[in-house]
Amino acid sequence: MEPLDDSILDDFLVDSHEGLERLDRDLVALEQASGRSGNARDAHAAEALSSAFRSLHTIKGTCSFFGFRRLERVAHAGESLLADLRAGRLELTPAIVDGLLATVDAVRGILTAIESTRHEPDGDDAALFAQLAPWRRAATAPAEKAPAATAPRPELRSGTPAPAATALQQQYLRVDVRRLDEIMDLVGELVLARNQLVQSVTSVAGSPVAAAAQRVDHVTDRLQDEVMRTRMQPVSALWARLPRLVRDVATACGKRVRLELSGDETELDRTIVEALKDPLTHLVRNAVDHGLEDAAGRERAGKPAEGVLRLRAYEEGGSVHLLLADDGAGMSLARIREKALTRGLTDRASAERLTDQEWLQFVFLPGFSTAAKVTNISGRGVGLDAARAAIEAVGGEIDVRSAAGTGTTFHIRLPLTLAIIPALTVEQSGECYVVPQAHVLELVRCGEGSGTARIETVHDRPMFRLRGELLPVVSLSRLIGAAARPGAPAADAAADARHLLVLSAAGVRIGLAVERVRDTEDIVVKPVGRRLRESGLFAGATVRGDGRVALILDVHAIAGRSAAEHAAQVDTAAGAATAAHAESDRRARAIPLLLVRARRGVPAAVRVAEVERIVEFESGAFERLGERPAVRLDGEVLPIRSLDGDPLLAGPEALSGDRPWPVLVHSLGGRRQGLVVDAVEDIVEWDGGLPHPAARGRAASGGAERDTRIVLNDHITDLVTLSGDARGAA
Amino acid sequence: MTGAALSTQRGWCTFEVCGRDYAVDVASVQEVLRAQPLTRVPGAPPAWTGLLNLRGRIVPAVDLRVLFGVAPERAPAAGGALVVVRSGEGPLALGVDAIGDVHRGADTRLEPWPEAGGERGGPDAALFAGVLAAAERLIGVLDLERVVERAFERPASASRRTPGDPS
Repeated sequence: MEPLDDSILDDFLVDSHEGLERLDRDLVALEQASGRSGNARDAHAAEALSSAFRSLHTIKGTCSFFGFRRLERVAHAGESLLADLRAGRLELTPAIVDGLLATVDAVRGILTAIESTRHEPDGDDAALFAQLAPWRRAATAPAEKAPAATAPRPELRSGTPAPAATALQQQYLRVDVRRLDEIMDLVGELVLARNQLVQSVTSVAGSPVAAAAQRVDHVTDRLQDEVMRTRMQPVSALWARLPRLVRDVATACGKRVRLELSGDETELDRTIVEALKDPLTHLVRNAVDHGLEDAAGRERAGKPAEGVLRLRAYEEGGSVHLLLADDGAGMSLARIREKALTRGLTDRASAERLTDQEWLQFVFLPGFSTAAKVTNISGRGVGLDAARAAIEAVGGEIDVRSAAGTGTTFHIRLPLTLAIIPALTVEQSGECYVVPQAHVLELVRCGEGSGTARIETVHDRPMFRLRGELLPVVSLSRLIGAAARPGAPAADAAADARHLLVLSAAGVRIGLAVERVRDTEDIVVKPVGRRLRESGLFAGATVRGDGRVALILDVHAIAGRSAAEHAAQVDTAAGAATAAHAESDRRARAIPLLLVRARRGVPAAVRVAEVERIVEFESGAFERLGERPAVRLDGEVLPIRSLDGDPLLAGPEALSGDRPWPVLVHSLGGRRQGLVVDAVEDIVEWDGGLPHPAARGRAASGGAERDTRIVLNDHITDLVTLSGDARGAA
Repeated sequence: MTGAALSTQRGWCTFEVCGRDYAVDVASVQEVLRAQPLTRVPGAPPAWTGLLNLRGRIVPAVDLRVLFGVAPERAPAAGGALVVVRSGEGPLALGVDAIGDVHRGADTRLEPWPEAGGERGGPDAALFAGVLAAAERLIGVLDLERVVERAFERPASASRRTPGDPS
C-alpha cells in the first residue's frame, strides 16, 4: 500500500484514540449501569450504549476509507455486538463487557502500529473473534439461544441522536503542539526584548517612545498569558483512562469500586499533564488494590460494600490541586512505625518525637511498602517514591493524610505552567545559576560577619545548624568545581559561601552554600538537549535579562545525591546511633537562646525565657527621657538601654537612620525595660555547658549585664542576663 | 562519477582553525556569527565551550580548536567566529578562527578521505566526510554527526590528546 497523506492519517489517529478513550469510559459506565436496577439503569445504559456505538462506528467507517481491512473487521465485530445490545437482542453481562474491552484493546493495538509504521500491521485476530463468537451467534440466531432477547426495551432501540456538537466543533482548531512551542519560544524572546526596551526608555520619561514602550510592555504581558493558556489542557485528558484502569484493577482484586471524578475542566500545562500520567496511575492502582478493603472487610467495618475513590481537581492560589481520596481502611501507622524502625530509618529516641503526620511521610521513601501482601498490581514499594519524584520533577508536591478506618487522601499540588516559573538567581565564581523558587524554603546568611551562623564540618561533611536542626550542606562552588575537574581535591567546601539556600526536594532538606544571591524573577525555561541533563546537575537553561544564558540547577538530583552520600557516610561512621542519643539527651537539657547582634555588630545571646516580646520601633519613635532614650509601649514609657552601654545612645545621632530598631522588651525589678539591638538573628539551643574559661567579667551596663562568655557553635559569645533574678541561673 | 555530479550542485562553506582550512556542506549551515560571550557548562566535556543564546534559542557551542586537540581546554574565544550548523540534535555552534568563503561549482570536488591515512590519519580521520579538492588546495570536509558525537563524549576518554599538544 502507498504511504498515506500524513495529515489526514494523523487526524484519523488522533480522533480514533480519543474515540477509544471515550469507549473505555462508556463501557465501564455501561457495566456499572447494568449493576443497578430500574429506570436509572435503562437511561444510563442507553446513553452509554449509544455513545459507545457511535465511537466504534466512526472508527470503522473511516477504516474503509483508508483501506484498513483488518481494523475494519475487528471494529465491525465490536460494533455489531453493540448494535445487538442496543437493540435489546442481547443482555449485557460482565463477560460481554470483557469481550468489548478486548475489542477496544485490539483496535488500539492496530492503531498504535499504524501510527509508527504508517501501514496496517498483519496479525491474527482469531482469539478475539473466538471470544466474541458466542454472542455473535446468539444474536444472529435469537430463537435458539437468547433468553434475554424476549423483552426488547423500546427506549433502547430508539437510540439517542448524536449531540449537536457541530456548532461547538467549529470554534476549535486542531493545532500542532510543536507550533505552539515555537510561538512560546518567540514570546519568550519578546519578553526579553521588552525588558531591555523598558529599561532603556525609563530615562526619557514622557516621550512618545516611553508611551509606546509602555504599551509594548502591557501587550507582551497579555500575549504571554494568552499563549500560556493555549498550551493548557483540561485535566480530563489526564484521567480519561482512569475509569477503565479502576475497573480492571478492581476486577483483578475482586473488589467493587466506584470512581467519582470532579473538576475535570481544570486546566494544566500539557507538559505537566504528560508528566502526571504515570504517577496518577500508580496512586489509583494503589488505592484500589490496598487502600480499599474487599466487600467482606467493608461490611465488617460497617461501610457499604462498594468502595469509593474520589478524584477532584481545582485551581487555587496560582496552583492546581489534585485530591485523590479513598474511603478505605487508611494506612496502618503501627505498621509504618514497625517497618521504619526495623529498617533503621529512624532510631527509637527520635521515633518518640515524630507526629502521626511525620510518620506518614515514610511511605514516600524508596522501597517502603506496608502492604501486607505483595500483589502483581502493587505493594512492592516501587510506587510512591517514583510518583513523588515524577511530581517533584515538574515542580509539584505530594502529601498524604490518612485516618484509620476512614481512608487515605493524597494531595498533589502542581504549578499552572512549567514554561515560565519564578526562580532565584545566585552567583558563584562569576557565573549566574538559577534555582526554581518552588524548592527554596528560606535564605540564611552565613560565613564572615554573620555571627554564629556558619558552616561546620563533621567527618568531612559540611553541615549547618538551623534552629537546632542539622542540615547537610552542599557547596555550589564545589559542585560546579568538581564537575569541571572530576577528582579535583575538595578544597575548603564553602570558603567563599556567604548565603545558604535551604532547599527541599526528594523528601530531604539541604543547604546550598552560594557566594551571592541576586534576585528573584520569572524565568522562561528553555528546552535544552539531553546532553545538558546528562550532567546530573542542571535541569535546563534560561536566558537572563542581559541576554546571557543561565543554567537551572537540578535541585531534585542534587538533593537526592546529597541524601545518598549522607546516608552512606552515616553507615560507615561508627557510633552514629550513639551520637544521635547523645544529641537527643543534649536537646532535652537545652536552653533556647536568642542570638542578637548588639550595637556595633557584636554578637550576643539572651535567654529566650527572659524576653517578653520583640518590638520594632522606627528611629522617630525614640524619645528622650533626660539623657536616656525611651519609647512608649501600651501606654507605658519604657527606658531603653543597649548592650555595653553604648555611649552613642545618649547622643543626638543615636538610633537614627531610616530603619526599624528591634527592642527586646523584658522586665527588671518589676519594671518593663527595653534593650535595643542592631538585629535579631536566630534562636539556637545551648546545652548549658562550656562557659568560656577566659573571661567571666561582669561589666555592668545599666540593667543589661554581660553575665558570662559561652562557646556557641565554636564562637565565643556573650550571654547576657536581662533580669536580675536569672543572674547566674544557667 | 557521482562525486563530480554532486559537485555541480553542492557548495562548501570553508573556515580556518589554527591556520588550517576546513569546510562543511553549505546546506547544513544555518548562519555565521561573530564570537560572543558563552555560558560555561560545569562538568561538560572539554570541547563543549558553553551555551549560546541564539535569539532566544539555547545552542551548545563546540570549539573546534579544542576538538582537534590543537588548543588547550576552553581557549578564550578571542576574535574568531561561530558557524551555526544544523545537526541531528538541533543547532550547534562551531567555534572557528576565521570564516573563509563558499566554494561552489565545477572547480571543487569531494573526494573520499584516503584510506591509507595521511599525516593526520588515526582517530581524527573519523571526523571527516572527505576531502574537497579545490583548484588551489585541499580542504578537509567535516562529518557533522561525528563531530557532534566526539564533542559530547564524556571525559572518560578525554585523555586522548594529540601528542604534539602545545601545552
